[in-house]
Amino acid sequence: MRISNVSSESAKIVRKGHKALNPKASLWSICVWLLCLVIALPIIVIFASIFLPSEDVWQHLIDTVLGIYISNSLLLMAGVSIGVLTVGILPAWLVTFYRFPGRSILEWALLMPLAIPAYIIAYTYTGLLDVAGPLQSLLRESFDMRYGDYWFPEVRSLLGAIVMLSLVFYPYVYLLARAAFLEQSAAALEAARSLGCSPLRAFTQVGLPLARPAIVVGLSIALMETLADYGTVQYFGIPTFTTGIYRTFNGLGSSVGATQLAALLMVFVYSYLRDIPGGSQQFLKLFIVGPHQEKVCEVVDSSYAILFVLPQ
Amino acid sequence: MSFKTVFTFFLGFFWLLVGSVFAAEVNVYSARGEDLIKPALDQFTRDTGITVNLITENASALIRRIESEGVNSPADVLLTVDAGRLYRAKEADIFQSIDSATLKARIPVAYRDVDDKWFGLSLRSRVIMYDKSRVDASELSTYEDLANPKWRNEICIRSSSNIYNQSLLASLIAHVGAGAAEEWTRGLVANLARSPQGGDRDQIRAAIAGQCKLAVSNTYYLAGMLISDVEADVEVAKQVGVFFPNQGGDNESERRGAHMNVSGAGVVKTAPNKMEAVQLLEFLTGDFAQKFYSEVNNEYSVRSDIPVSDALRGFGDFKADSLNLDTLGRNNDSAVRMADRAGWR
Repeated sequence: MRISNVSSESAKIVRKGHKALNPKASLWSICVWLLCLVIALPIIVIFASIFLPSEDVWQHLIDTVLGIYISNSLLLMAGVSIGVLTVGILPAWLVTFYRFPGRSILEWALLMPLAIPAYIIAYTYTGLLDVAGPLQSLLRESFDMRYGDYWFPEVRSLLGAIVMLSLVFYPYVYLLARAAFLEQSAAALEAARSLGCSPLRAFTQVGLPLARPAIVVGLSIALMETLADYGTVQYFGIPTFTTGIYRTFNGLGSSVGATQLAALLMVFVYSYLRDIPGGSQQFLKLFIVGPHQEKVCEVVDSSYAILFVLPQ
Repeated sequence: MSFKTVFTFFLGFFWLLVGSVFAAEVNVYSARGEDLIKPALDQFTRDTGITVNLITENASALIRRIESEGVNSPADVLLTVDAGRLYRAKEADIFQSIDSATLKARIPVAYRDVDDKWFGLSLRSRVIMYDKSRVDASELSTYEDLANPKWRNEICIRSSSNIYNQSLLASLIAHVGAGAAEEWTRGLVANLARSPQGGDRDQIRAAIAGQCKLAVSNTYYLAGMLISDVEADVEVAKQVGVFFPNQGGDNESERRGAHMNVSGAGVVKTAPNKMEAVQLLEFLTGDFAQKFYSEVNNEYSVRSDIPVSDALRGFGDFKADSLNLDTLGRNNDSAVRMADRAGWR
């Protein structure tokens, strides 16, 4: 299992690093092991549930709702990807490379949505745009229409959830993309421009590819948050993995079945993380410098992977 | 620091320590919204001097928690807002039988457990609400009729993940049988105006906004809207008619009465403060708490001598379904599976 790899890796590194000081370094190893154990405990418990007998809950889930849970979760991920990439990268590029009024405010203000839980935004927009909300009521009254006489997008829908989650999670992409853009050498961009690239082309051909590893990390965090969101999808009535886990526990009364659903989600997330293209280690090296850069990055990266899985 | 100061300090500390260990207290695990129970609990503390420690969570999680805490559980009382959950707690064997003449005298047999493991504290009915401008009460009859194709695209009801809907379906399974109930569920799903979303109040609002003609809701939600500070809610609520289904008809099932549910409580098997716990349950069936349930929460009292609130009185009298409430819990699992199969989200 990955967890034991991490701990033995880190233990190995620590041992190597302290060889000159203390050949045993056992206290450090024990601390690292204990820390790993504490962090990994919920994961181990959830994973271990796979080996428990699960009554007939699984057959029922497979026959009825599991397919919907999976397809809705995947659609949500796909939609949120498009959303956070658009709303995250473009402003990051603009505030980094352009001077315009309000730029210094936008620089930090664009991070603010991170402080708002997704379901609060969902409640707010629903209150405003729902069929019984002030906007549609006003529409009906002013034009003497009834429900159905006019077209209005349904807030509580999969698309609505995608928009809500994108609006809250894009700062992950924005933050990391901006950091990456700031690190980029202006010379590369200037070279591109002097060789005849339009500003757009300099962005797509030089700026964006250079920032790709950072953006992928930001996107991954946003997607983990998407999979972990419960409030929004529950309020919108969209059956996903999280609401499914809750329903299996709360409605079907099967805590084993619910934990196994969570384990399935965890395995999915883990296999996704292993395949992150570009690798997040390059990105970490931007922040971590010093004689042990390589090793420290390796450890941070591995424990990072565990942190992703934790909230599930 | 003089000796006196130090002595006073230690004395004070000791007093606090002794106080916290020996002060009478009762630990309540509650699935009820805090604002809907706290005022009554505060009054209990004022009356008796017993401190109430309140934890609020959803019922399944609380039951699981008491189970895993085992003999070390600090829980004395488990409060839930649904009979099905009380049944599940009883099945999990976390309640003890309570022999209290007061409770037995105050609560009708239908609203407490046969083994005295749990006691209903307040009542609510789940009914059909309709837009008075577009629906005439004569078009309505039974819960079964909600599956009638004449209501195609005209019904708003929340998710089947909600316990009140699970209990309603559980009662239908008991009355008309699993086969007919499943057919009913499919018919209901076909009649939905929109995929289930939001809470009961949202269904009422959608009906008045014109998205559907009928909404299924618990009685206290509409009553709460009628006396709300939010003017828009009051406006909406005034346009809503309340229909208690299954009040009359050709056969027994058609006149069985409107679906009832209780909020209730039981004393935990391992309760460290059993005496205080029983005292609390008796208090919650007493005048103050029952009036609180009735006037503030707009629920029906379990006692016939407590008047219903003004808002509820406006809904009129009705015949209540006398189905044993254990049944709601017993059929809960089948109901959830049935909803899954029928595509009731």
